[in-house]
Amino acid sequence: MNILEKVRQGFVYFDGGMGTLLQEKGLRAGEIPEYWNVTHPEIIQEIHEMYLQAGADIVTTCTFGANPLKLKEAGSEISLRQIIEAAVGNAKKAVETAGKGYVALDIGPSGKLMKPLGDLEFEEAVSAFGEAVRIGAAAGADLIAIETMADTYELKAAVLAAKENCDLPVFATVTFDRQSRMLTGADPEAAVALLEGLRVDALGVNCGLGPSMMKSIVEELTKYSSLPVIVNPNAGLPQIVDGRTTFAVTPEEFAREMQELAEAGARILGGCCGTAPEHIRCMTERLKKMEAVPVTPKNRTVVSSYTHAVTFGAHPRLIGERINPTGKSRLKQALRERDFGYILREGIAQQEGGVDLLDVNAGLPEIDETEMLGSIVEELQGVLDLPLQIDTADSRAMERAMRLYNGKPLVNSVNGKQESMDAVFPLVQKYGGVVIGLTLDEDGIPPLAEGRYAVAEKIYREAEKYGIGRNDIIIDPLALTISAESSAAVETLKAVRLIKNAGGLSSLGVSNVSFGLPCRDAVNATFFALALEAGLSAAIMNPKSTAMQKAYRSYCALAGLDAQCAEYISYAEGWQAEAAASAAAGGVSVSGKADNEVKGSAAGNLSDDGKSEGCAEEKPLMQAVVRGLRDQAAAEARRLAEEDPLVLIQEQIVPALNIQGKGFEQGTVFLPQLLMSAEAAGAAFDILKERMEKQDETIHEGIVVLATVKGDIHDIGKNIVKVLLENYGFRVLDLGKDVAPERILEAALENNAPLVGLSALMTTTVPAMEETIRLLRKEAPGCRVVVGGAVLNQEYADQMGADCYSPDAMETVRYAEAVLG
Amino acid sequence: MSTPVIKINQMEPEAVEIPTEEVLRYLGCRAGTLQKEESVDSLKKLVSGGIALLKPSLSYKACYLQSPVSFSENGIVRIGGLELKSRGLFCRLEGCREAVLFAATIGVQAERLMQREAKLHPAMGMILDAVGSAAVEAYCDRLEEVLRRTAEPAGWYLRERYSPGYGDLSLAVQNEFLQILDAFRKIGIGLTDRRMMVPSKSVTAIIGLSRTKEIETKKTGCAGCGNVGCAYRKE
Repeated sequence: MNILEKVRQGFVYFDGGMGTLLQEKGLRAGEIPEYWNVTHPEIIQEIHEMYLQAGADIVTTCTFGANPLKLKEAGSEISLRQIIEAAVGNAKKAVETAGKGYVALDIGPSGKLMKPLGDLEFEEAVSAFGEAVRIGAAAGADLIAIETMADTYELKAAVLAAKENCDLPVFATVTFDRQSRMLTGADPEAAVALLEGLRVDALGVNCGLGPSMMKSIVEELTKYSSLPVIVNPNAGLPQIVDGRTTFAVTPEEFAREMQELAEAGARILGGCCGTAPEHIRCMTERLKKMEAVPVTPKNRTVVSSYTHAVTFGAHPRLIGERINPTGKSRLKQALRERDFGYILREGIAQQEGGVDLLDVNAGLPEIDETEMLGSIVEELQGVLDLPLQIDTADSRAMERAMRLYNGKPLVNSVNGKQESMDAVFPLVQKYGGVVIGLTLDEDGIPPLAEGRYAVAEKIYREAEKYGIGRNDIIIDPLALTISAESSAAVETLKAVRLIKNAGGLSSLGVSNVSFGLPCRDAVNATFFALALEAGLSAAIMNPKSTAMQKAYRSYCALAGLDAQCAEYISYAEGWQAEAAASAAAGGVSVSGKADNEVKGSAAGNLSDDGKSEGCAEEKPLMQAVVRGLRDQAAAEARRLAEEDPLVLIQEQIVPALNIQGKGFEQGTVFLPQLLMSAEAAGAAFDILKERMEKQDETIHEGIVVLATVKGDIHDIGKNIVKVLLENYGFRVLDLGKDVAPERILEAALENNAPLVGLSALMTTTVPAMEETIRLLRKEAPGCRVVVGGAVLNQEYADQMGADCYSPDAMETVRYAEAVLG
Repeated sequence: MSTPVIKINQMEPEAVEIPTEEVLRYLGCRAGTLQKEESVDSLKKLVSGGIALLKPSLSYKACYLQSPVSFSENGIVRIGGLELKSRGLFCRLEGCREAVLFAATIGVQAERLMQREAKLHPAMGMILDAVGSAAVEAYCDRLEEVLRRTAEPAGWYLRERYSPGYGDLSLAVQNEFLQILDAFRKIGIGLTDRRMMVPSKSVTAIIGLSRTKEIETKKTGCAGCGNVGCAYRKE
């Protein structure tokens, strides 16, 4: 009988701990237990046999640490293949002797942390686990048991490795702490979402805690999981009695507590650290009299991040739409320049705006979407914990992003075209996900609601062929603009109702409805409220739109989805503050001078340097930059809308940076303060830049190449220079920040650039600048080099052999004029 | 035979005081070299902001075990299955019959926050990095107090802690050190290919236990370390 068949019939028992038993047999501290498969096979076989005799159905091979990464680190003399083949052989011999049982190939964590926390690449982990799986499956294991996983990302790598390298059933268990969290933050609901998405055969918890402390975790797992739940607890914490290591939980206690876990719905039970055959014997004896709780489908629509799950159905969800380059020139620029900082800030701003998920789209004709979408997913999930909606029409980009995503994603989208379903459903089947189904097919978008619902039905039916349930599909019945067809919104709303009445879920890109109309916010917000009332489950929207926020928060309060209107009230406070602030800002134009005076006196503790260089009350932007106040600098830049941005940059931002740079040199300003000023300058500069119109006509021949040198990620100085150069009619190729010398040389040669500008903020990266200059001198002798940056000076520049040292951006422009003519 | 038992310690963020002066030292701001009061005051404000930001993410955890120590003539120290070749450690443990090996960390969530700030707000990222360094050291001090409370009634006196990477004890021992403490499974410390611990704000160390309360004559702390060019050396 197949192990899965046995699980369907009732309880299945795992074995218990191996380490403690090996230590009793003489394994020394620090010795690698996996070697014993080869050096002491009879002892390993004996332990397996003891467990089988005690009532275990599954014996796990002694391969917890047998992965290429760990063995390499330990400088192992015995190969991975030798260990795993011997381990599976030992377990199989025990099964033969006992005349019953299944062999689980045990896969433990690699012992390394995944990027970005640690240095282990996702694909490196997949291939390391894959190697172990291939050897174990070929050696005759009956199932794969992935266990003690502390990180969802490594867990995903291990499960994918198992699925891609064998056809055996996959069981996966993870470790939670006392707060029911995995090491990297996931709660049980998130772990279930991920593992069900990846289509393991059973899931659960092991190690870390004793059985009594696992009860609430098992209750959660069985509440969310439609799969059989595994529980393999420790026998409590170790203690020494009469010089021997013993565990706090006796076999009898263990059995009693395991019965409670079985009553809570666990179906596959065994032990971890500190449990011995006696624990398993007592447990199996005790559970003989009991029937296993049936496993039932939960039909939940759920996605997850590396920390938490988000469900659809009971509460309408907001999906932030801002990370999509369509119609957003600043984001387009960020994508082209690989400016992930900007993209991350967009993500965080939306999270602060209260969205439940973030849409991520990197579709821009001139960039490699597959690479970029994957990179954005990696960057975003490194800094924020919202689940992502992977938004692309390119199935290659979709696959890479789904693979790299640390959780179960929302996927945008599939549609009723056969080609689309053929491409997308296999990905959802393999990587897991909830997928948005657009109601259009080969015949276009049906004009009437009924037609769109028919497409939805087609999508549901086709998905079923891949084992993708209706609960993993959210239908988007498409919001079309009412400026083109006046009944467009009515049909969409009708379709939302049809989907709702059929027990389905729906999502809309709400703002499409007002395309081509003035004051779109008003139309969008009203349509949004109507759609919510019609039963909309999710909306892709701009969380920065107050009108949309008002519609959503007040709908939730009205629909009884906001207990004591708490959310509504907290948002309303924000709106009130906003209104008050804009009223006050309105006053500036009338009494602007008075306002300035107040701000000036508030900044009374400004450094002497600031004052002596003319950073007085009439230069609030300069003050804000010197004091490193990011928000205030941005606000000042916005407030000074009347002034020429070029003048503001030259007279306030650049001098402020110079003050701080000089202060740093003299030891009166510390690096964090210098960086804060650079950040404040960047924030102001971003606003000013939007107001500057790029000169269309190029006055000067030739391209100026700009870069912040390798190792340096501070690019405000370089960005200022770039904008000034462009304003003076130069063509600029901006290579970005942290750029390797070879890359700079390559760009200079390719473009036959007469001038290269290099910037560095930190003294530690000056050597990189020097190296770049040396390389340019050697390989591109005709090219001139201008350098700048807060800690540089003429002397440094001379030492490095630069052609010109430029203390500020204007100097660079002058020099460029001299060089390019 | 008895196998050494690995114990676990956990502390809440509030239980560990993070000294501002230490954070300033990690930021390269040394007492005596400060030229401007005002500038230091504003830095102190930034630091207290950083402490407040990092604190909720701190999850202090340590695992440790006590084991007999033996010494061989060629300057090798043997503890709990480790063979350590270090003159400095040898001297530090001289006369000790047992020692405690420990690994301590401020946790993954704090590491994540530090990485996030480094990307979004480099200045705050830098401050959090210094706060994290000061936090893990302060936690080690608290952990020593805990160890002392159980050791002294049993007649053991604690020596000052000695870490891989300090003096002449090579970082190459980190892998085996963490392995013996089962530190990945117990408290989530992993190692990169370049033998850096993750979370980066983690400490491994050895504390000698002796039967006599020794009068400290040897140089300890920064003064006892041969790495004289170190940026963080205390004067």
